[in-house]
Amino acid sequence: MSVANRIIEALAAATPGGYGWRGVHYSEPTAWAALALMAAGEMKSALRACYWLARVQQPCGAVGISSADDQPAWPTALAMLAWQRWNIAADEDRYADSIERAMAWALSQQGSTSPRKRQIGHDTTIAGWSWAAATHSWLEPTAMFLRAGVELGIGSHPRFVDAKRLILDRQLPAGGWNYGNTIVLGQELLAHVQPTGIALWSLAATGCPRSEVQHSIDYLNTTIDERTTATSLGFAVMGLTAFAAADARHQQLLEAAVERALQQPTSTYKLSVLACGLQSLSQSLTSTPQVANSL
Amino acid sequence: MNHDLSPSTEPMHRRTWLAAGGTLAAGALAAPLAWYAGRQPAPVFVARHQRYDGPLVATLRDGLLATGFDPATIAAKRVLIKPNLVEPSRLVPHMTTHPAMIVAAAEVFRAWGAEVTVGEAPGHVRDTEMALEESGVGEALRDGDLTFADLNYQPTAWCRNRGRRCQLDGFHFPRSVVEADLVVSLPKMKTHHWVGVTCSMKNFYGVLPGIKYGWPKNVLHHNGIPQTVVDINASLPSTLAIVDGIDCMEGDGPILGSRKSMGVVVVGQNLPAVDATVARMMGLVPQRIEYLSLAQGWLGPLDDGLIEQRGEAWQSVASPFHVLDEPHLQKLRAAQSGALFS
Repeated sequence: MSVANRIIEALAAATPGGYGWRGVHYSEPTAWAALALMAAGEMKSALRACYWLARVQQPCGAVGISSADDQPAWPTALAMLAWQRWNIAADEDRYADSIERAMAWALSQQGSTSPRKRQIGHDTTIAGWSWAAATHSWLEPTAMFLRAGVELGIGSHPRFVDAKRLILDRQLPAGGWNYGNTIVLGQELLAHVQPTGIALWSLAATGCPRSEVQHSIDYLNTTIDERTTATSLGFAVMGLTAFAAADARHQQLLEAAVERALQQPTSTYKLSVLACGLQSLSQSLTSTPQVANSL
Repeated sequence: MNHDLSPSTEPMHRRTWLAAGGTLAAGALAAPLAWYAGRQPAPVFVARHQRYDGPLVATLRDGLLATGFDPATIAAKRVLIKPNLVEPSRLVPHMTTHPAMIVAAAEVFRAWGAEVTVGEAPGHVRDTEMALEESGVGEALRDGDLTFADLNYQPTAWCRNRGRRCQLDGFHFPRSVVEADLVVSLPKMKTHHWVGVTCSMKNFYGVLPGIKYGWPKNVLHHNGIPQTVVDINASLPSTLAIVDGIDCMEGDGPILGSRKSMGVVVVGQNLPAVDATVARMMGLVPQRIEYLSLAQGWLGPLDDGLIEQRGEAWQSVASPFHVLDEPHLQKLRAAQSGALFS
């Protein structure tokens, strides 16, 4: 059995799931699992994940971090993505109401803004999405909501236009992203692999020209190697394939990471991110960038 | 070690649920608030000429005993060691607690019969496995057969805010924190470009889970860094501090500052007293550091006369740290002349 098939088999058995290899089920891992399972054609398992997400959705439309914890609700973005892709793949509107309520909630949420300060390099006046209510906008939640908005066909909504602007504004001058700070007290901060992958994955869906992110693509290509850990690698490959910038070396790295993950008890989160990366790469190496970008 | 670096999922122990009910049960040891009642001087131990390849186990054991720690109180108890792995990078090893310090601390507590876990919720990175590998801590934990708790993603219990210097009613502490009988802050001695110094008290930002508070833990920032530092410390189970002051960070800490070799280890059961001593070594006035000022006379003493020095006198190892040329930092310096850093 191929590496791709084995990880999907393991993921199907671990869905819904969490950040640990057993125990409490969380929304983010379950949503990534739904995306990976759908891409692999494992629709029965994917539906189980989508159903679980719908079950934990609150009347206000938000999807909290776990079945036991309804706040904060940043995984709502990923739940919308999962439901939308299910509706498209199954050619039905099973989750139309869930999506509508989730998007209404998402658009009612906004990271806090503040006047620009000389100590902070990024534009603090741009609103995106925060991790927790009533706090500043940060990179990954904004990227997740942007991707959801674009896939739902409302990428031209001012909130998503701002979200794209925010992500580009938070790009480090030397390339790459971190959690969402660029320059503090005059010093440029460090880039990290995982947020860089997620930012690229999100921006690619907007039609962002490669020239605007080339130095971040370069950052990933020069940084990731056999020491890169599983989820960072999975997200990095998703970001690179979204811009048709992945190659056979990335496939080797990712397959080795999957092999390691399958040799021990592994969380749904790690399995799902690795599977998403592997599938996006497989599509990228065998088809057009547009198709690869579908993951 | 759990290579998946993920929370185990055994049911919470009874004490966790007591905490979830709003009353954090006292550990087997005295909680931080006990200092207020006693008003006794707080001992702080300083060791100099320390190296990561030196006899750290003996140093830490001596330091703990010298500050009045009773090993019998942790026999068969749970000890959580909390290093600083805020944003590890192989390029900046002096940003994070050295693995040798973690392993040595674990060895001391294990030898005294404690069940030891190392736990951290890195503040700037979501990939905790990456944080462990970049810092070298992952390898050290595997070699030492030590369990790691990823505090960013563990199930939490809500605990009442016992400090009330900020507006938060309580904190969502991870299971490993709530169930610990003793939480050991094991920070790196560093400057901090917003609050001046980050040491044992500020290090406890890293017990709060990112999945609830974000990356960074912006909920805390919005409620005031000094206030939330004090409130977290006031709300935790029993704590003590072991400071990695061997290779330190000066200038633009806590992430991008320069390495400063001090060769010291600082140990104490009263965290404000430990941090005040460290601030003095760095050439800063503890009373001018806002979170220490808020803790003074309540969680612990800052006045040098109320801190009993054990081991070396702090004056013998003091060496002013560069701080950024920013007004909010320059005012913290004990000597207003001398080297700046910008």
